[in-house]
Amino acid sequence: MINIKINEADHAVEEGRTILEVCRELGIDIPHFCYHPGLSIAGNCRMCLVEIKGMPKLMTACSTVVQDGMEILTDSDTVKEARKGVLEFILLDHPVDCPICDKSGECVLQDYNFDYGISKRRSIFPKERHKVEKISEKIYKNDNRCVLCTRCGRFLNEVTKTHEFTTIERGSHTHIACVDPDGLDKNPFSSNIADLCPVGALGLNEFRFRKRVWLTDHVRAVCQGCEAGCNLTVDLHTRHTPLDPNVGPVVRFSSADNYSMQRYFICDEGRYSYKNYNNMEGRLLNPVLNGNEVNEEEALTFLKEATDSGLTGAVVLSPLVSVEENYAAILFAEEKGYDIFRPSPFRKELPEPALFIEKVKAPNHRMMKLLEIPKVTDMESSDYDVVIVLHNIGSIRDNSLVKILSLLKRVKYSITFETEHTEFSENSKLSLPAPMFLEEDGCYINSGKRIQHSTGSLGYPQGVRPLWKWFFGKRFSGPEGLLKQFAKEKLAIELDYEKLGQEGVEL
Amino acid sequence: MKKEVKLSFWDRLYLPAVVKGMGITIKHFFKTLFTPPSKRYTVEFPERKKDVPEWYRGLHRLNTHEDGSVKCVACYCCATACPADAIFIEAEDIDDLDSEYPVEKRPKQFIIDLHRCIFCGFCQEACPKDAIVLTNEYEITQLSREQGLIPLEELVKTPKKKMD
Repeated sequence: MINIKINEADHAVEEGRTILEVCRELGIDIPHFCYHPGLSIAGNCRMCLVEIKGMPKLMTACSTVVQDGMEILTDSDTVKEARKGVLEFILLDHPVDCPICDKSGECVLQDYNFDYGISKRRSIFPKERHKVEKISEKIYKNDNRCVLCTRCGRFLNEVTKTHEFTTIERGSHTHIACVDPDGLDKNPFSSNIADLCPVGALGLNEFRFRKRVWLTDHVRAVCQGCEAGCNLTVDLHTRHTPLDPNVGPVVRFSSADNYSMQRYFICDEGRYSYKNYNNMEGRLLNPVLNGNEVNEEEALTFLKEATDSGLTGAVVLSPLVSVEENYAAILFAEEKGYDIFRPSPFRKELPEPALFIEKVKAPNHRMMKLLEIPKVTDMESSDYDVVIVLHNIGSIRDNSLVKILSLLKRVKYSITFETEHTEFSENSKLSLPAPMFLEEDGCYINSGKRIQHSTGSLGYPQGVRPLWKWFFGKRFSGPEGLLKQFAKEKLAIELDYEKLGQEGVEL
Repeated sequence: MKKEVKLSFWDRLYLPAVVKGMGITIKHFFKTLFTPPSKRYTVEFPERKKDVPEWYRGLHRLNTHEDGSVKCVACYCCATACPADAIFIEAEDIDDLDSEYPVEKRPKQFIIDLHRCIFCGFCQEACPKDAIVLTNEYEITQLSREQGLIPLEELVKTPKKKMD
């Protein structure tokens, strides 16, 4: 640890880190375009200039390493003057077409220009214009807006190592060029460059002109695509005006930084999976008993009749469901003396490059393995009267599916807990409507044994209740109580949502 | 609550009050009859119309370029500023990236709900393209609820302000 002074205040910081990283952790904002925690340091945007006492000129905070006794000023008049100058140069050729640009509202250039920039352009020369083009099926490129931070090029060179982008020409004519459009289409991570771009130069064709970002709420969630447990920023459109058509609430997924996992990107498969959560037509919104929709009381009577008569039973958990819901099912099974099984998750071949993508396509498979729950396909005798099956949006492996279906068809009381009308709900006596992942707070344990919290901000739809409410009534007030009990009894640690925070805890 | 009012005999006849009231009406009738029309307070409305001041905020208009295309680029600034949620916009990609000056974006639908609009003028303040303006048009009655939802095609046709 070394002692430095930032804006006249003393701080003890770790050695070997850059000023920008140190300031980010201390909550001091230094504007920057080209720096990104997941990429190499370029130092070409000059936006992060800070004053260091004893140095003749301003230094770039992103590339200067802190030294003992350093005195840094991040907000002095000289620094503000420098930022103003940098922004004026960047905006020389910028079209300032914010009304059209899809980035406006989350554009850092827009924010910085409001904070530090000048409002009038002094140059009398015409702005250089480039052609706007849709360079691949996923991405469009608008060189007029580019600030040449080269984050996109560095991402494709360093992270995916596919080298599709390069900068061409010199001086003020410099711009980014795509040399391999087909490679960009095949690259399973290429849509990240739209997130990385600090301005509106690169964007997703799919999100083009669909929704202004300030009309959406941003919440943090955990990707349900595979076991890797990448963090997502979910844009939700919940504030409907009277004339708005009733379209799905999920507008888009984008990556969220997780510094403790050192993961800042998501794969395209996960990014475009938001469509799965907008399909309300197939949703199960009322309990279905023997093919007829019934009200909650009738469903509860059937549930009581099935489970209170002391019959033998089995509970099939799901790797697609959160820790809380799975634990509620485990708790119920332990109280009634039922056997517990797990299905095998769906597996898929990895694309090239794979980076952190996992083969196991279920977000909570690690929890099943952690608790050493036997596979449903290893079930020795299937002599049960009651079978309770958990399922959610997603798929499981075929042999488990066949086994569960045969179980559901054979037993006297078959109960499924399901979000959509599927084979499971059709083949069981009672199917109960379940919330999907954005509708309820839930935790997921990823392949690195990190337990992460996914925010449920949509709330339960009309008629949908969580599993613990069906089984335990008012014993738990919310999913957090279940997580606390799960952590205490199964993991022997203390956990709650506050402790998990945004980045989760490694078990 | 019922209020008891005691009327005197004179009040219960009603005739004196009727005569008094008619007197006032006739007085005004003759007074207006012998005033020159330019100095009268009233206007014979459907035939003659009163001029409103230029800052009057009436029916909305969407301005167009000289070639007839809408100035609006569907940036949603007006819809965001609207305190009454009266504006609904759906954006559309024009797909003109190959042209020399691409516009890129335009509204596919632009509906103003006159039942909700409070004519505050925030939309024209928020507009970065000078597309939406409130004109001096004040005859905006409709025969049905549906006619109160003014679509893009009609907003373009609203007459401009007289001063413009």
